[in-house]
Amino acid sequence: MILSLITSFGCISPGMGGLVDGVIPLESLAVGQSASVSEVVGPAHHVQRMEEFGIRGGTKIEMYRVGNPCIIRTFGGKVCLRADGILDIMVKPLGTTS
Amino acid sequence: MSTNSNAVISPSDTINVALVGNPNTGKSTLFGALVGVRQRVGNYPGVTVEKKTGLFSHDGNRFELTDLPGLYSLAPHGRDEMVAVDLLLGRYKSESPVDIVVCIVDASNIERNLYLVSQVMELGLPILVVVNMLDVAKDHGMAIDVAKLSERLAVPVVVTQANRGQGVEKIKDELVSLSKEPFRTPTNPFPQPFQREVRNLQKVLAGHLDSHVGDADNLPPRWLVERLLLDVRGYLTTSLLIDEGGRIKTELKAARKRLAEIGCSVPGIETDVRYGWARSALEGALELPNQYKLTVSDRLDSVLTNRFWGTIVFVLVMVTVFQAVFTWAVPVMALVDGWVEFLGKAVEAGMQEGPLRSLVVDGLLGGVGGVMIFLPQILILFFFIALLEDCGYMARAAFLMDRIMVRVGLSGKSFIPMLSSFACAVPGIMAARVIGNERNRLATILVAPLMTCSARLPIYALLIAAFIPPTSYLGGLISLQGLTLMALYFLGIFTAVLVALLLKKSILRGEPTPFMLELPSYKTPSLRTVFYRVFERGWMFLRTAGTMILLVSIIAWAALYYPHNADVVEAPFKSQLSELHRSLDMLPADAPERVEIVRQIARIDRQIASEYQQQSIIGRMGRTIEPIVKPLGWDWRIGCAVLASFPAREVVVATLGVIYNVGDDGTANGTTEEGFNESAWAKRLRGVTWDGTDRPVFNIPVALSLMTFFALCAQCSATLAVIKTETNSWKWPIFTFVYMTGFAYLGALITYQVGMWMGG
Repeated sequence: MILSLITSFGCISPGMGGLVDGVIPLESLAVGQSASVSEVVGPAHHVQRMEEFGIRGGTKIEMYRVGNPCIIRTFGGKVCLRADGILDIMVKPLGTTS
Repeated sequence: MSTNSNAVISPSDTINVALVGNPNTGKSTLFGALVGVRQRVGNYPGVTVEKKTGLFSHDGNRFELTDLPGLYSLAPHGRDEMVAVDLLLGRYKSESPVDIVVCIVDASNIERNLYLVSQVMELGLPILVVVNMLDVAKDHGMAIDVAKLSERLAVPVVVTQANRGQGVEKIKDELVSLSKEPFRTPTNPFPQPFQREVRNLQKVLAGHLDSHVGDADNLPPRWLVERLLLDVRGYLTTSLLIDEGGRIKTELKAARKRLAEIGCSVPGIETDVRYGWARSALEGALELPNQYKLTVSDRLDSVLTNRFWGTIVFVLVMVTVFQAVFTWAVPVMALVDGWVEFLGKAVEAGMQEGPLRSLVVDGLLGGVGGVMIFLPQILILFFFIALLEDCGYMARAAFLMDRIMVRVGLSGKSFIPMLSSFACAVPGIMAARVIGNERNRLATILVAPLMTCSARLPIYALLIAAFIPPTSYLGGLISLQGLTLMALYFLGIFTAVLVALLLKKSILRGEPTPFMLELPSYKTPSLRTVFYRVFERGWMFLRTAGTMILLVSIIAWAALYYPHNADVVEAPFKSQLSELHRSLDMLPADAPERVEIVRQIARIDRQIASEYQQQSIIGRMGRTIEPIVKPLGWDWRIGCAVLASFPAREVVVATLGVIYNVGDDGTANGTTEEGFNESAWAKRLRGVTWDGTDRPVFNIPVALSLMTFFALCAQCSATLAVIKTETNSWKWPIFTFVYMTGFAYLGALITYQVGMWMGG
């Protein structure tokens, strides 16, 4: 209750990790764990680029290789990402496939 | 041909077709399959974005196909997108407007690819969608109903297998049909409030756009105004808008604010709208599996992107590439060298002695031949790069290298330019175009010349063989000479790392950008694509380096040849030479004494050449700069040879040969593969003394100081010229020259002084 009040006043962004509806940062996913991208948080133009690249709310992904950069798998293949604190890619885990 | 009216294209005209698509969709392969060898490579006016065009004919129609850079979006984030926008909107006065757009999409990533298609569809140009890599989509467990997709998009859709040339004829048929159809009404996926703001802005912006295109009412094109409204970073605003007093910017800001208030935030609205459109277009036309299917690419990636095994494979691949570049190329290089020498001799035999012959032989053939000799190495390197790129491995190498590159402020994308620079910095700097981040691209360009290119090898080989003892360790497995060579390579790499770090922390400091790289599925490389790429890049290298080196060779030759005062230089040797020639004429042809006389004549000829060198402009400059080079352990002759090698470092061996009187190529007893005779060179260099003393000029610290200087100095006019063309500014080649020469001097000074302190 308190948490939802704080977030509704904009004091905590969903990007601050793991607190809202099981949403966690991308880097917290384990290898083989599937997730759905919940939100990409950061400067508008970087978010736009990431979305144009295919990583946006609703995209289903699977962690293929953890680290910085990490490799994630989408239906279109694999992409290598290093957000370096500029962007927070928030995901909602779905389960482990492999 | 004009697209500004809704007219059907006349069959007599050339039909201009633009090929657009995401990276890794097989766009270049399709381009090659459509135009074959009839392709031209150049740059777009004023920018260093590669422009590839090709011609083909079909059913009596002539098409000119332009391959645009691989793009994820037309939203202008950099040069590539700006070029695409300018070309598609017909903003280039020197380019013919586009009549038809071919959008190639990767079937395995169709939703994201349709994002770009939706942007192109808004332009109102006839469009053909080409679905490629359906086999990869099948491997992923995906199924696409192409007929349904065509119906949904309301544009023709063709399926191809570009690497096998399948579907190419169908594309040509469709292009003929499209050329006969009137232009389409542009689509508009945006919600009404957004459209209203765009219509208002069209009126506000009339006369304020630096553009010669406009619609029927002379208003700026709707699409361009949309882009300005969405362009929150101001990339387009800066390049397009004539906005005195900032009124337009204020209007744009106010429009964005109004849109945000009703839930249409800019730029987020664009991705929402376009992906929404793509999803609805694919509904019922695309079938996705419930789970990711394990593909061959996945199996390969489990090894090739693994930190341990992947690194081992990466090292093996790099060793193979370097082995090929530095050993396979040697016989071909010797062949090229032989041809240049043969040509030189033919010219010498056919022309009268004088400045013109010297210009042709020493200046033109010597200079251009100096570049030609590196072509086999460069072609082999390009072959491997093209092969690794086409099969999909290069993206994995960039992933593995990113961890290292990021520590110096660069990204994995800087790896290919750096790798290329080990053969030659010119193609390396050109390869930096793949780096989207401008600051990273510039940092890569500025440090690429520090990589040990093959032009540095002759001087390393000469001095190492002459001064570094052939001591070996571990039962002959490691030699001191080999270690020295390796140390020189590492010196270049270490300095590049240091400079990149310094640049990224000072003049190139800026907001970091996320690193995104697609890892395409592995595929069997197409030999045709590989061949085209090798040919195209090889030709580009020859053109860039060749033209510049030609000019510089002429200047360098003049500085080494003039004032060429024959009366002063040759007079002291005249009587001695005539005597020797007289003795030679008197001796029978088989007399053993002839050998010695011929040798003496050759020695005097070399002495004359050396005298000419001393009298030349460069020779005089060498004496002038002696106080500056003395702290490096060099006499005026070394200074002179180094000065002469500033246009192209590879000439230093020949210059040293002339200056130290060894002969141009040290051919006394046969030559080595590097073009000099080790024993003759070593003996001569060890015997050189400081003027008027018995103190030898060369010792180990001097040799190391000279090699350090060559490792770090910007002695390559072709590299500086390509930095100028790639950065569109003289500032950066001047900066590169100054910092590298400064580092080289400092490095050589420390090496010599420390070497002498340690006991010489």
